[in-house]
Amino acid sequence: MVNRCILIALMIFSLLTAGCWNQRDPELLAIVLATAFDYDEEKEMHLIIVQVANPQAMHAEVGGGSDTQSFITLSAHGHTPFEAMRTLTLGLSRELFWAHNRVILFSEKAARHGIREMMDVMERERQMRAIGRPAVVQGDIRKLMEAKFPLEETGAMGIDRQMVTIQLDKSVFHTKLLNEIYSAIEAPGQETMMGKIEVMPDGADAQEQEGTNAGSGENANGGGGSSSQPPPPAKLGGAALFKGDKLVGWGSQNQAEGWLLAAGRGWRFSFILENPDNPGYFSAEIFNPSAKMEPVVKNGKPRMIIKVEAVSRIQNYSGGILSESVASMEKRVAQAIRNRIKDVIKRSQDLNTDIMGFGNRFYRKHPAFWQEVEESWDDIFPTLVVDIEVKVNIMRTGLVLDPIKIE
Amino acid sequence: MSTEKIANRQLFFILFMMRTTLVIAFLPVITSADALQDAWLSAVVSFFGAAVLVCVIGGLTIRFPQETLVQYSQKLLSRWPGKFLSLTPLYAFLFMAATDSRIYAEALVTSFLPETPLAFVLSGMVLAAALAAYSGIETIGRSADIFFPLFIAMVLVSLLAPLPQAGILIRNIEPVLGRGLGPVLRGAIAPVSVISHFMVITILTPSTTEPKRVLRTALGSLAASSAVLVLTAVLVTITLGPVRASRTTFPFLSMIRAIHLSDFLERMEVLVVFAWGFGIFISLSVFLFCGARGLSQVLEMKTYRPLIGPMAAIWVAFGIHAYTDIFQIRAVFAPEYVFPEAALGHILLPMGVLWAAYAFRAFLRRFQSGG
Repeated sequence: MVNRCILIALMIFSLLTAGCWNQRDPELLAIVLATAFDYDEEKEMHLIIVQVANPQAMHAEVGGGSDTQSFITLSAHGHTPFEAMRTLTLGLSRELFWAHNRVILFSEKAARHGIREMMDVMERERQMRAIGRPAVVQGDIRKLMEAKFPLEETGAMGIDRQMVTIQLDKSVFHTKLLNEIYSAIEAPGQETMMGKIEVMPDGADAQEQEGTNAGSGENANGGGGSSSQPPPPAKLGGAALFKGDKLVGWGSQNQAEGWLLAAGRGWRFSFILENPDNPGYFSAEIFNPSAKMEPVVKNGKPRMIIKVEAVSRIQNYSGGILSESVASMEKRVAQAIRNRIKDVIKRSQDLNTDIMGFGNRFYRKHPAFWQEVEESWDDIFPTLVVDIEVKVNIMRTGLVLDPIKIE
Repeated sequence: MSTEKIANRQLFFILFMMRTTLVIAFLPVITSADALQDAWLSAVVSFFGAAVLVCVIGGLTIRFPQETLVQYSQKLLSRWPGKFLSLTPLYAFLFMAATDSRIYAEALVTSFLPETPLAFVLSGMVLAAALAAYSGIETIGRSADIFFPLFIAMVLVSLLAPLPQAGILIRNIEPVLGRGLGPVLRGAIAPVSVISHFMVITILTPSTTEPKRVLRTALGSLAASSAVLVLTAVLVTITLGPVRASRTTFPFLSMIRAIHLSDFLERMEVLVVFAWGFGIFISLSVFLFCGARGLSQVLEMKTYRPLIGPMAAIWVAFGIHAYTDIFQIRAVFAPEYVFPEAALGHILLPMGVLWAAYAFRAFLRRFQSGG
């Protein structure tokens, strides 16, 4: 009898618990795809711009020929980022759902104001997650959030894919997860670097290269492709340098490359350098270089040694017999790598922000020394001596050895 | 009732799940609060401290293999003082069960069910545990058998998932011993103290098939769960960073939330929540069983079963009212509180008195026989 009562109680109980307490049907949610933080200095207000998926239009577009956009862009002000998030719902018939947010953008103003409050809401609020990809936007952030990307359904997907693609194709942009930024801000002797997204003014072409000339036979790379479509609205590449939680300056593409090379984080770097023997250029690529930073303390003086090892591949060549110039080309690639690393170190020392995490290396390997210099690191860092040792090995030349012989 | 037996293997599973559940719930916070990046060293140290306490608990228990603490304390201290003393561990079970289930309920309410009343979540869990406890220790043992593989698989997967990111963030656990041994030892106090969970063996021993080997089982279980604790401490510290790990309310959960294996494989916290739920179910039902069994022996009742219902109701109320907010729950695990409460009050006080009585009686016996 008792058993039967328990059984009946259990069955009733399972009926009660078969659904969620407050269920949310997916069709009643407005799914946030990208979030941008902006800051209005005059009003001292935060501004949040979100891109929300419009599933009906997404379906319609498969059938072809519909004018409705597959996403909508909303924005709202607030004294805190959270207030702005809640104010967003005033203009929307559906509940915002943040868990699928993939892209997190900070405007230049927001980044210069400090991103601590925005970072806080993203780790405190239960729907937000630290697995979006962050970047700092130079230019009109609203325009970027409203922009359509060629080939992509929504702008957010466009930015997200572009971030992943660029890291695999040409490492001039540091793609990482938001999670990494928390511990970078909190780690001793380490400042934060994020990738930079430049919003193109109307009519400009995103593939137009910025003038890069880091010396030593390295030359400006040529300009880009054209297409019948309107050009992509954004260009990825370069770096945003933070001190604490505040943006203090921008870095060029070469400097972003330098950071990635020294940290051993990039996938694929290309170098366009002058031929050793002939006029013209050769193109070399290095894949997944390994790098090591060694902090050295000698007579109470700190010094940093960066060792980079890379295997290179020739992708384009217009000189003479390739095997004769390999040694010289290796030296040139190594010099180019060294220049990029020097470039980013100089930039960070000028801005006095330790984005390479040199201080962190001393903290990790020489904790006693770090305790002495922690307070005065801002005075030591700008003049810190850094030795860069680069070893490049041109291992492959592609499917041919020597270039076309003209008889 | 005394014919109900569980295998020592099942006891191993039960103890492992109880301890590991608390590890998932709160331990990383405690360890990283003071030791920061050396949290995992605190975890290693805590194994030895906890092992000593387990020997204190288990050493006496296996000298009375057929009796529970309630029974042998009456033998050692005479009837009324013995009954009075055995109320201490019984209260400890109530306290620990209420704390464990409250933390789990808080985690659910904080991150998954923000609008669900705490009482509903708590009573749901206690109801399930009460049914298990009512069915008896054999049922709990069999549940442990079933849940253990699932539990271990879920915990292992959630410990493997952060590995791809770990290479980049390895900086977060260096330098090792950068600030000396002091913080490491202080960080070990809390995980050592919460070994008071293992007080359940004082009641469970007579129900095992090989009561003489209970101490060995408990130490093995402690070793296994300590390994999980060390791994957890390492991975949580690496993924979140030492400072952030000590800032988060539920570090294990936050770590899992920060994992992005690919665009298709993320949001893996369901594994943690399920494993945690299995563990809480086992812990609660064992605590409830031990509490009721112990109390029934204090009151000299024939069976513990009538006590389950009222006790479950009291536990829900205690779980809700013992803590007013999350700050109090955090404060309970501060070394200066948890050590006197759990290590001294729940383990060393009762076991110390009993060991002293045991030693005194052994001495008397030798004195009398030796003349």
